[in-house]
Order: sequence, then structure tokens, then C-alpha cells
Amino acid sequence: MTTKQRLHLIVFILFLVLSSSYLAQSTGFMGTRLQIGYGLHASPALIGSNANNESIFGNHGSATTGEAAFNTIHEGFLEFAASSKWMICFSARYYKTTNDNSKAFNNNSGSYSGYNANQIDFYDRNPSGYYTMQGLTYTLYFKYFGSRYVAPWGRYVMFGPTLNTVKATYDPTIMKARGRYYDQNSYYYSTDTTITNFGPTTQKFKGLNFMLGFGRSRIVGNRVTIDYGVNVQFFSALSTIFDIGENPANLIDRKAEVNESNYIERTVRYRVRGVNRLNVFLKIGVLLF
Amino acid sequence: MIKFIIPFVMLSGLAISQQNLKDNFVPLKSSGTLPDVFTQNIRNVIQKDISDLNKNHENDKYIKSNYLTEANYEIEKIVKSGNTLINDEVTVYLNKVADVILKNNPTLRNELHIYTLKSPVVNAYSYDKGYMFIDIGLIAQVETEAQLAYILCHEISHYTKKHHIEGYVKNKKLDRQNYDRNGDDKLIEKCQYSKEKESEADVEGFRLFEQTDYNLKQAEKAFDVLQYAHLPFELVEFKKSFFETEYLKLPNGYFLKEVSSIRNNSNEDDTKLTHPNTAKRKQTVVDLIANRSNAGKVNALVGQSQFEYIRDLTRMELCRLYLKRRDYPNALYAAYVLANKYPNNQYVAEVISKCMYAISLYGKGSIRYNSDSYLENGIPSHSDIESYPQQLYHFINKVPSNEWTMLSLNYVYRTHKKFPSNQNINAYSDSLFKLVSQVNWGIVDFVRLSKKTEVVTETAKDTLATAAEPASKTDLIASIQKENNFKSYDTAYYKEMYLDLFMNDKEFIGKFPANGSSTTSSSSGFSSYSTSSKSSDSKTKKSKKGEYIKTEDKIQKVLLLEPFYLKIDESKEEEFQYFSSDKKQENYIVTVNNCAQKQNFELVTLDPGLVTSSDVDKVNDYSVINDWFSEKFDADSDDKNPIFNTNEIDNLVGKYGTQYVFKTGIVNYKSRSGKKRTYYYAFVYDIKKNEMIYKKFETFRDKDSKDLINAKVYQTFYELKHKK
Repeated sequence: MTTKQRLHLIVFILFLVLSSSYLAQSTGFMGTRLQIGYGLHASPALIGSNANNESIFGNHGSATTGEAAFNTIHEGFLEFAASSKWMICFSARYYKTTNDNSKAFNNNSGSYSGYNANQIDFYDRNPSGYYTMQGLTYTLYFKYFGSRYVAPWGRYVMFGPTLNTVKATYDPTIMKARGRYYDQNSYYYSTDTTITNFGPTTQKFKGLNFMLGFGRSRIVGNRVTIDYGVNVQFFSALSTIFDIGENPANLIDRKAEVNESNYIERTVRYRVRGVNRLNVFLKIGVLLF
Repeated sequence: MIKFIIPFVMLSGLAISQQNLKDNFVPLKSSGTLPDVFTQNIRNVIQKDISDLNKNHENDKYIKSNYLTEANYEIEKIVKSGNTLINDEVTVYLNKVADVILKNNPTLRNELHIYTLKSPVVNAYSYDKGYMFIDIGLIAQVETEAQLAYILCHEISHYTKKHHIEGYVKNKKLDRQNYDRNGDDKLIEKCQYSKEKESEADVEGFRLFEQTDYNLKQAEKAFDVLQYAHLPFELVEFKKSFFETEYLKLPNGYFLKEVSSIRNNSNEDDTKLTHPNTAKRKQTVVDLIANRSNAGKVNALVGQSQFEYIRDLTRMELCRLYLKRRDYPNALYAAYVLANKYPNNQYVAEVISKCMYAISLYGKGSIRYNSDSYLENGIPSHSDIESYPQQLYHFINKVPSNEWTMLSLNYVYRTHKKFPSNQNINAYSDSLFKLVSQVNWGIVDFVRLSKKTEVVTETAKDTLATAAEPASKTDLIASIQKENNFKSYDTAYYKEMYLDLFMNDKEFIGKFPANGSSTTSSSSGFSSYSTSSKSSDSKTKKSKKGEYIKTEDKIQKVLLLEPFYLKIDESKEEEFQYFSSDKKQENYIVTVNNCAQKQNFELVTLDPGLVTSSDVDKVNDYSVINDWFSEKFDADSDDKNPIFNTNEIDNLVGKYGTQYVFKTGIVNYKSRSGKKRTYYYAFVYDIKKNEMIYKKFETFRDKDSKDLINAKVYQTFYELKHKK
């Protein structure tokens, strides 16, 4: 989808919301339409580790203790009751986590280009340590309330496009792998060395997804909203079957080869999907006016 | 001089306060200062009662405390129901009789609170704390003041012997028993216990009664009244001449040669009845009367003429109560009996007009009965009726609906001419003209087929048949007027029904349709009468949730009628959570007012629970609207059945500045397994047009949280205010 098409889609959705707003009956909770608040999303770290480098099952992760481990996402949101049934909302979610580097890369990586070819032979299947990720997810979403409910009170479904951004940073003193260089010209193998170059130490990535969810909103004292429910990122949920495979990156992108220079790029999406796949949430908001 | 003037003024005042039943009747209303039960905080009262109970060394305190809660709420519910009359003529009279009975026991007399209940049922009820309610239907039936006095003695005995609370305790204990007994056994045991208490009240009541100067024989006769309570208050032969005029002679075929006899079931099996059969009860009293001197005992101590007057008041009121539950034949018969005594009473004539018109509508299918109706299966067959009223039922059953409409018009129009200022009768008359036009009858149907006029009328009919050029109304009238000179050989009895009106009454001629087929019928045929109007082009939005909003009207103000709140918890022994419901109701009233206020929605509250002791007018107004809804809810509330108890509705609309009445409530239910349901309803009725214009009924699988209530009530007002 091109940027222009996305823009058209957004305009179309806005048109639908504004149309229903025009025909609105009771709008807002006792007339109060705008709310702002904080939300906490959490999901169990089933496969990958969480920010504390722990996972429930320990597979593919450095934590093998089997301790309960959760990912947490913090959210700030702004929601507006456009009609008795629809809310138009915007949120920004922040999370900080790690990738436990459980993903293996090629034992041999490098390039062969005539006489200048060189290669690295790794002794380790994957780098030790982890790299950290700081994610920001922007979501423009819509809540649709059930027939008996009045926005922002009651049961609802929600949906909307999300933009996942993530900044990955690694510390070369933590994330490293043992291997040796091979120089084809001289048929020379270097002595065993520690390889710490996995590209720039800070790397940024973006991706689009689609959020779906349902929840229930209660209102205390005609002012404070308590909202709870579940949400998923649609494409992350779709990829679950691949992500739980032994070598997920290969399953998704079979031709892709993972080596030290694209290691973060190849693995960061897997982790982002894990964090955003399925979350339960609890939000607290304040009805403003 | 003043000594003479004051009694004169007082007597004049009394005379003025009495109604002149020869001319008219004004429905009974409460007056004066409202009793404490209206203004007191019922929770405090119950807590005090329970506290008093706990001070005594009594058994079954838990059950009794539940009883005190239930009984207090029950009494409050009855008194505030809009059906209880306070300080009206009948209630004042009942209290005078009680004064006579208990003139030697002022302490007991002061404990009693006696009220009249606007119910056609023939019964009386005694509750805890001396509250007694006597049905209008009972007072209308009794033959003497002494009979009424004995019935009061019986009820007083129930109170003094604490039968109500003891019966409650007994029933609760039986309900708790789980041993191997089926429900029938328990019912029989409960009934047996109840019968013992009734017999005790009969005996104790008689002992109280014999201390008075009332004729003891009347206690025995009181059981005859109960025995024949299913019959009208007076058995008078129904004569067809009542509807006949010089020009209308009803065929004998519509009338029975003889009516059925009255079945005697005084010895019926009373195993599953709460009262002994009347034969047993009567015998008990007969045995008590024996060997007692009846010398100097009289039938009336308060006054015979006053008794008769009061009884006639209740009989007049009874007509309204029959109309309220759409029991038109009974109302018609009652009014017929009263018309014999008060031939010029406008109210009675109006009741008969209402009944005639209503039965016309019933015949056309415009009035429907269903399982919610008092008359579930419609007007009963005459074979189910005993004695003289059977003749009336037979007449109603046999007359074809079109003819009934004509007969109704004949009666109602002539009544309208007799009471031209009565707007209701005028409205019924106009509606009947429209109804006539709907059934394709017209002036042409009243042209007699005489030898000389045959050609004229046939020509007229041919003209009508070809519909090329309908015979003019004046031609038809002229032909009727001419044929009067000839001997008719057309034997249809109704042909001359309107002859005098066609001859002399311009208003009648102007309103009567020339012929049915040439008259454009309205959608309902009786739109001139506001209570039965039905707009065919009304736009109604229906949603799948069963709610709708009529979109024609933009509502700014409603009359809020006593918001309802009930909490039921099946997991508890006492399912009905009275205290909790009461508190929630108070909060709910606040919520409804807040939500209305936030939207600048004008809300006038009419709630007998929110009155001061001087607000008797509000109680009367509530009663009027309550009557309207009783009649409305006799059938499906969505139904367009016309409503006849509307005389004071217009006044109320003017007084409160709105014709929209808002009813709302919440029922919160918790099952034994812990499932929660909350039901929210809100209805707005246009009481002038007899239409439900807003309906919302929703179920939530949730507790009755404050946000739910706030959201729904606010939404309701928003939807009312903003037409979509």
C-alpha cells in the first residue's frame, strides 16, 4: 500500500466516523466526550525473553529458570467519543525489552568476491548476551461499542492501524561471538577472536501492523474510566505459527541468510511481534470534558 | 344569632360536600392531610418495629422481623398505589362506622387506619399495625350499614388476634419444611390454618359486633353478600325498552325468553380455599345469633340515608373501575341499574355511552383482549353468566357488530343531545359517525322499501352500484321523509331508528354519512376522539433490540412517574431486597433528575413517595395517571386500544404543561448460581394521544453499577430531546 493509498484509507475512515458523529444520539458519558489516560499492557514472555532476560519456558532464551515472565508496555492515550457508538482514539505505547540472541546465524558468513573474498567462521551458533530494544508504537484506532452501551462506557471492539518503531542498541562488551576470519587470498585463518561487530550499535526500524481488540470500560464517580480487555496486532498474531518454529527467521524468509551484519535487523521483528502479539491491558483514564 | 348561624353554615357545608347524584357524579378523590405513611421514612419505621420485636421474648424472631419488613413495604405500596382513597366521603363514612363499633374501646380505635381501596373486588383486608383496606366492590354490594359493620368487626378481629403475622410465620415454616410432602399437602395445610383463623375472626368479630346496636341478623346476611359477590350489586331485569325509542323496537330474537337461575355453591369444597365456604361461616354466625336478643337493634347507626348515599357513590365509582379493566358488559349493567335510579345522571349516561361505543369497537376488532387482560378471552358468552345480566350479555353476543354500531350511535347521539355540554359524549358520538361510515352503511340503508318509494330507492341504489353519480344526501333524506307517509313492508327493525333525527335534526343529518361506500373513511374511524387516534403515517424507528422512538415529536418536558427499583437475590432466603431496593430507588430518583438537569430537560416528578402531608392534589393526580396506565396495561402496552378513563387527563396535561409521561425503572437480579442481570426500562407515553412514543428495554449481564445507570438514563433523555 502506497503512502497515498494509506492516506485515502485514513480519510475514508475519518469520513465514516464523522458521518456517524453527525447522526449521534447520546454522545459521551453524561455529555463528557474526551478522555486522557494511562494504560498498562502485559503479555507473558512465552517464547522470547522479556526485558529482564527471562522467559516462561526458557527455550531460545538465556533464562532457563522457568520463572513467570511478562512483557509490559506503557501507553498514553487520548480518546474522543464521536458518537454514542464510536470513539476515535490515538495512543502511543512504549516498551523496553531485550532480544536474548537465541536466534542462530550461519556458521559461515562473509562474501567471496574473487581474490578479495573473506569469510568468518563462527564457533558459536548465536551471539552471547542480548541487545536492548526500545519500542514506540503509534496507533490510530476506533472503538465501536455494543448496541446497549454508550461510548465511552460499556463493551466495545477496537481496531486501527499501528506504526511500530523500534530502536535496537547493543553493547559490544555484552553481545559477542567467537570465531575466526578466513582470508581466501592467503588461505589464512586468523587466530580465534571475539567478534563484536553487528553493525551500528544503534539501529532503528519501522513497520506497519493492524491492531484488533475488545474490552470493557467502566466509569467511577462519573470522571475516572477503568478500561480492561485484550488486543492483538493482527499480522503478529498471524505469524505466530512461524515464530514458534525452531528457526523462525528461516521459515518466514527462507532465502534470508542471517549473519552478523544483519543479525539485529533479522531478529528485531521477531521480538517486536512477540511483544505486541497478544496483550491484556488495564487502562485508567480521566474524562476531561 | 351566631349560635344559629354556625350550625346552619356547617350544615350547608355538609350539604355542599355531598354530591347530587341525581344530576352527576364526580369520581372519588382523596382530600385533606395525608397520613404519616406518606411522609415517614419507612426504613426507620421498620428498624423501630424490629427493635421493639427484639425487646420482647417472642419466638420466630427472624421470620417475624422479615414479616415486619414485608408488611410495612406492602402497606406503603398499597397506600401509595394511587388506588387508596384518603379522607374521601366513603373513607370518612367507614371510619364513622368504626367509631360506632369501637366507641367503648378508644385505644383500639386509635390504632386503626381504615381506607377505601379503588378496586371492584368484593373483599376487605386487614394488615399489621391496624391498617385496613375495604374494596369499593364490597361497599357497593352490602345491603345495610350493619353488614358493613360486621365485616369491619371481622377485620378488626384479624388485627387484634394478629392473624396476619401468625399466618406469615406459619406459611414460612411450612415452606422451609423439606420432608416428603408435595406442594398440594402444604397448600392444604396452609389453607386449613387460614380457615381456622377466618373462623376465629368470624366468631370474635361477632362478639365485637354484638356489643353494638346493629341488627345481629345482618351478620348472617353479610355472608349472603359474599356468597353472591360474583353477581352485580343489584339484580334488575334488563329490559330491552331501555334502548328502544318511538322509532326503534328491538327484535325479540335478541333476547332470551328466560334467564338462567343462580347457582348455589355455598357448600363448595373448601379444602384448598383460604376461607371456609360461606355455608359453614353463615351457620357459625347463625348459631351465635341464636338465643341472643336482637331487640332495639337497627340496620344503621350512622344513618340509613347516608349509607345509601355512600353505597351509591361506590356503585358509581365501580362503573369506572369496570371500565378501567375493560369489563364493558359489567360496567354497562351497573350503569343500567344506576340509570333506573338516576335517569338524569350525566355520569351514568356517559358510562353507558362509553360502553356502547367500546363494544362497537370491540365488534370491529379495534379493542383487543389478550392474556394480560382481565377479560382474557374477550366479552364472555352469555351462557357463562347467571340471572338478569345474562340478558345483556345475550344481547351483546347476538347483535351483529354493524347493527350494534348503529344502536350505539342512536343511544349516544340522543344522549349527546340530552347533555350537549358533555365533551366526551360528543366525542363518542362523532367517532360513531365515522365508524358508521367505515362499515359502508349510510342514509340509503335507512330508506324503507315501500311500494311507492321502491322505485326511488332502487334507483338510488342502482346509481350507487354503478358509482357513476351517487344519490345526493338531500335526495335520500327527502325520500325518507316522503316514505313516512306510506305503509312500509320492509320489516328490518332498524330502518326507522333515526327517522325523527332525519326529519328534524340538522346536526344529525349533517354528520351522518350519505352512504358508506362514498365516504372516505379515516385510518381508524374514530380519530375525532383523541384517546383513540392512531396516526397512520407516524414514523417509528424500530431496532432489533425492541426499542423504538417515534420521531415526530421533539420532547422537552416529561412528567416522571415514580421511578421503580427492585433488587432480587435468589441466593438469599428473602429474595426481595426491600431495604436495598428502597435505598437504590432513592439514588435512582437523584440520578434521573441529574441526567435531566444536565441536558436542560424539564422534568416534573409525580411520585407519592415524595410528597408532604399537604400534597393531596399530587396524590390525586398520580391516581388519575395510574388509572390511565391500568387501563392501558390491561392489554399489551403497545396496543392501540382506546382508553376511556380520560376525563381528567386533559386537566392534568394543562396543569403540568406536558402530555408526556415517563416511566422508568431498574430490576437487578442475582440467581442462586451468582449470575447477575440488570434490566433497564424507560417508556414515554403521550397520554393525550394514547401512544407510546419512546420505548427502551435492555438487559445487561452485569450488576447494577452506577455507570450503567448513569449512561442509560442520560442516553434516554438525550434521545428524547434530540430527534434523530
